[in-house]
Amino acid sequence: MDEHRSLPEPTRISVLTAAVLLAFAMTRVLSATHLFSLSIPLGVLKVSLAINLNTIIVLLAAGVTATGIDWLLHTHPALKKGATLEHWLLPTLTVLVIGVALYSLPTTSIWWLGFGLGAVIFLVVSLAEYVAVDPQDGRYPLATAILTVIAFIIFLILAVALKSVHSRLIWVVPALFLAGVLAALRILHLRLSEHWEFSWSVGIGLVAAQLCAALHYLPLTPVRFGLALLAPLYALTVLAANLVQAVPFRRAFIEPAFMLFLFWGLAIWFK
Amino acid sequence: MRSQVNRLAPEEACGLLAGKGNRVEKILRVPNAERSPVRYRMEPRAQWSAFQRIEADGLDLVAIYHSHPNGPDHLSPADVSEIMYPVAQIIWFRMNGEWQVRGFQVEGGKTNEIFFEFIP
Repeated sequence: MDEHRSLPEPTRISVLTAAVLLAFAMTRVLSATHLFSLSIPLGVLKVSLAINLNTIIVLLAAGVTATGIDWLLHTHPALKKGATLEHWLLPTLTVLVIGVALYSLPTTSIWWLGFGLGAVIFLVVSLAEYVAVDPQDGRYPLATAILTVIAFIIFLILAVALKSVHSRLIWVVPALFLAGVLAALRILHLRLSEHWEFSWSVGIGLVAAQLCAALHYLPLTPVRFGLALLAPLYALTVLAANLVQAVPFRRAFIEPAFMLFLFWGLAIWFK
Repeated sequence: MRSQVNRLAPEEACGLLAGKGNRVEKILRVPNAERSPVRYRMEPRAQWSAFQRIEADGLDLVAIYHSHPNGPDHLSPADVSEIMYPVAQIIWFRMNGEWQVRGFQVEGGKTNEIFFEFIP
């Protein structure tokens, strides 16, 4: 077998996928028993978060994903010692976001569609992360492209899901900030030959969070809201990668500017 | 609302009405950034805070009100063109020196009067 074309052990990836899907399914089977509420007074506002069994299950599924991906990658022949953090960021975020999205859907055929789609996305992201361990792998560019697309899709799904369930601003802003930072961090790490770009990622997350706060109370449909926020995330991430790679200034701006207006145009056009 | 529109006259007064379904439970006064007798624009920070208050209380935006101290007794063309939220619009206006109130719902560019009652 080509040493640069390895695939994950079928048993391990099956066990991991099954564990995550079981967690998603359990949120439907078990009733959302209220366990406790976290109440934090913030000035005149009282912030409370109701924790139920399903919240715990989704958080546990994310934890299982992080450790599961680490376990999966340890069979990769090209893995450097201890270097798996970057590979479980996106799968963990994927499980959290799909968990939140599925939780907000009623148990209809749409839930089953989301469940199936979630399984496919999780499997694809896990395989792509496995391939992305080895930059010498011929499939590395494809894996990078897939991970980039999935990072943006996951951010879009989260924005749409949070707007759909009318989540409070106090939760939407930190959730989208965190998702924006993690998505930008992973994409820039892939684009910049495994170099971490923390400052750009946090800056991009802050822009997404600021725009989210500005748009939150406008009567936008969830899809419009998601597209309006995806636009700066995409544009700034590509711009950051171009500037760090010292792409000529004018060329560095063309694609991000075009995509920014394309996504905003879609947000205006999309009903 | 009446005391606010009366106190701020001849400037237009404005605010948000929050509640559940069609029932208003809370009045949130918002300053008019224009401070004008013929126009209103909610002061953005106060409007944002009002929305946060609505969210914190688990209510929904039910209606938006503003006053026409010098008439008319209905939504002006500028009011209709600037409507952003698909909720009822409440107009306070003066008739023979007394404050009166009317409600309107704008859907698809068409304005329909709505009727409501005050429950003490």
